[in-house]
Amino acid sequence: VKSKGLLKLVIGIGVVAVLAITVPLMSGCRAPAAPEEVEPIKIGMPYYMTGAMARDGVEIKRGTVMAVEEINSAGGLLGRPLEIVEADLINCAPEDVTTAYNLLMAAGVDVNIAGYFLGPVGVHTFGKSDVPLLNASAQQLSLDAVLENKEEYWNIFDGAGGERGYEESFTSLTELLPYEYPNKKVAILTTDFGYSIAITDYFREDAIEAGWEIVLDEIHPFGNTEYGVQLAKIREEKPSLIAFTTVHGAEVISFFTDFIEDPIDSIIWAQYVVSIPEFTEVMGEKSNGVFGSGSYPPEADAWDEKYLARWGEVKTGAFYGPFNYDAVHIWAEAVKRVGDPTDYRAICQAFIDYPYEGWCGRFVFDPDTQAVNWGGIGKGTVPVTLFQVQEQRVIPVLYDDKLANEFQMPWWIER
Amino acid sequence: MTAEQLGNLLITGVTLGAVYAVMALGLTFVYGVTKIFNFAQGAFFTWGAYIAWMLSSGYLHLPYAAVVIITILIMFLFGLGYERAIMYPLRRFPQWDFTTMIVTLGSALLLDNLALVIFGAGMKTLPHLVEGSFNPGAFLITRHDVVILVAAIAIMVILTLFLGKTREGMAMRGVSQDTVGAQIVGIPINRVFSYTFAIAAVLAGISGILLAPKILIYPTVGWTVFIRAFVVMTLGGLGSIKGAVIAAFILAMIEVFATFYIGGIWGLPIFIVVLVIVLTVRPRGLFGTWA
Repeated sequence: VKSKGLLKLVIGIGVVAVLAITVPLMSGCRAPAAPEEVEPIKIGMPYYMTGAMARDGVEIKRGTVMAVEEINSAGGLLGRPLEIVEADLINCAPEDVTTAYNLLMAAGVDVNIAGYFLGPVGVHTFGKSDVPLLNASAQQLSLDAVLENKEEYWNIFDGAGGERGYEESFTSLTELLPYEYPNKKVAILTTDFGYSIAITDYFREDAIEAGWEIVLDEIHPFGNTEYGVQLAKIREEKPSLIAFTTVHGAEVISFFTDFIEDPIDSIIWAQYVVSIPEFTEVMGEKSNGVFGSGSYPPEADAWDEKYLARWGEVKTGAFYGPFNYDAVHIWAEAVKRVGDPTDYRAICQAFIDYPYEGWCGRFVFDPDTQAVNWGGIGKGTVPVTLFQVQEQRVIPVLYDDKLANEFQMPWWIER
Repeated sequence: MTAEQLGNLLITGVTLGAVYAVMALGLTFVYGVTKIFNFAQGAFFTWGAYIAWMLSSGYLHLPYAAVVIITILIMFLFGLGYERAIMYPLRRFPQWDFTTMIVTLGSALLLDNLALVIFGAGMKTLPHLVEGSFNPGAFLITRHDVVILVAAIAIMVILTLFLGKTREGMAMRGVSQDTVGAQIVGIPINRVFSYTFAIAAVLAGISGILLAPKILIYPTVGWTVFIRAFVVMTLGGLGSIKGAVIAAFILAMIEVFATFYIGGIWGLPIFIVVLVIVLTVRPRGLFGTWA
């Protein structure tokens, strides 16, 4: 009797199992596949894992990871999970970029989301394939490369326009900031990198037009850490404004470390470097008071909370975390509209046709340059903000010609 | 040029020269004794700086005197171990000088990447050994720069005395002149090689402590130091301690005045032009033998 009962039980379980498998198939439905069986959509992330810009790389990665985690936890994109494939740009030499490109293409990525490239090397390398590239290199040379070869580079999109976005920096610092400059002398330092030189050109032009005397106008090698001669000139001339344009954190850190040994009453505008968390991390409290610029509008404050919740750290820099987060969403929205992550042409067209509202601003891509409109401090759809380091954090101070937060007198200025 | 400007430039040149001298001494010392061109000297610098950082502002917050002593001790053992584990086994083979040079290059890359994995890519710094500055007249000299200058001169004097007056130093000179001859007369060349690397690592550690507040610490910072050190060593004469120090000050002065008159972008190119001119006239460098 017992063995008969056992037999019935086994047969019963077998019937139920067969029905469970065959009924959905017969009715035309597919059994939902286990999540691990769904092929992921691969996102290429060429960024600075090593080298001089590696601290920026951390922010680039964190922003991208936050967006991907968010999309995956909401069920993925078109029902497929996203997977990040990383590649190191090292110091952005052409051979480094080519190696990163080859690695990503071999991995079968369907989009590349970068932070930035130094020069148009990113356009020329990633433009060889049809896979879309979203980056924020902010250089006219890159935009020109796209414009000159639209047939080939239709897949390259820049979320930060050209250097022109910084063109009102001098005016903002000297006319809009509630600070009375003791003299009309300015010292300008820049590094031998086209992006920094172009921004300096705008700055110098505006300074001359406004009748300021340029007491030092200096280009030094990229990565320079010796400023004894320049500081000797600065201490002798006592300019009330010092502009330092570079993307190399060590340059400004070395300069500022020596400057504060015997400071003079100068406002210091360190352009991009203030956006790199390294500046505040290395300089600590002494970094307070230094000005910088970048696309990080006051409303983006909420990003800080999101960042803190995910990484357990207070965000100290600006731009590339939120930009990369935005870039993933720009692409994901376009893929959703197109319905196929491999229809690259349609996805790129969707970038242009459907502007995206992100943390950094409204991404309206110009059909000609395939870049957003950067129109100066607080202007354009992804506006540039003038900010100041306060309590070791980057605080927007001037935005859209208005004071967004209180200006704090730099600690080294005695008045 | 005003007297004040001239004074400031001379002070800047002297302090920069001291920086370059500190960078070059370890590299020139190890080449002078062993004839091994140690590509890993820059990586030794990086690790010396990281060790000092861990002992001070990074983790342990020890007093600076303890940081210096412990860093020197660790670097000495590190240099000793490096030579014993990597150089010594290779020296038994023919053409070991070339093999060891290539291996130092490989180990430099390994050490750089190890630093990247352990400490991350972000920059770090060390506080000045002595904070503050002097203001003699219209000039400004930071106390830390004075420490670098004193250290550079002290290292040069100590190394020269060590090589000229001590038994171990004379053994090193013997090995540098003729390795086989030194072995025949009973000089323990294996020990000499080990101690040479240990001293070179100590010099790199001291350089790291002195220079990190100026040039920061990151995994590849050693190459920046190495390239300058190489130029200084070549100009001074390969393996010449005195030559390296004098070359460091000459090059620093040229760089400072070039920066002042024609701009900072020309400092390094002129640095190289001077090197080429000197080597054309005197291929062995300024002091191409043991000083």
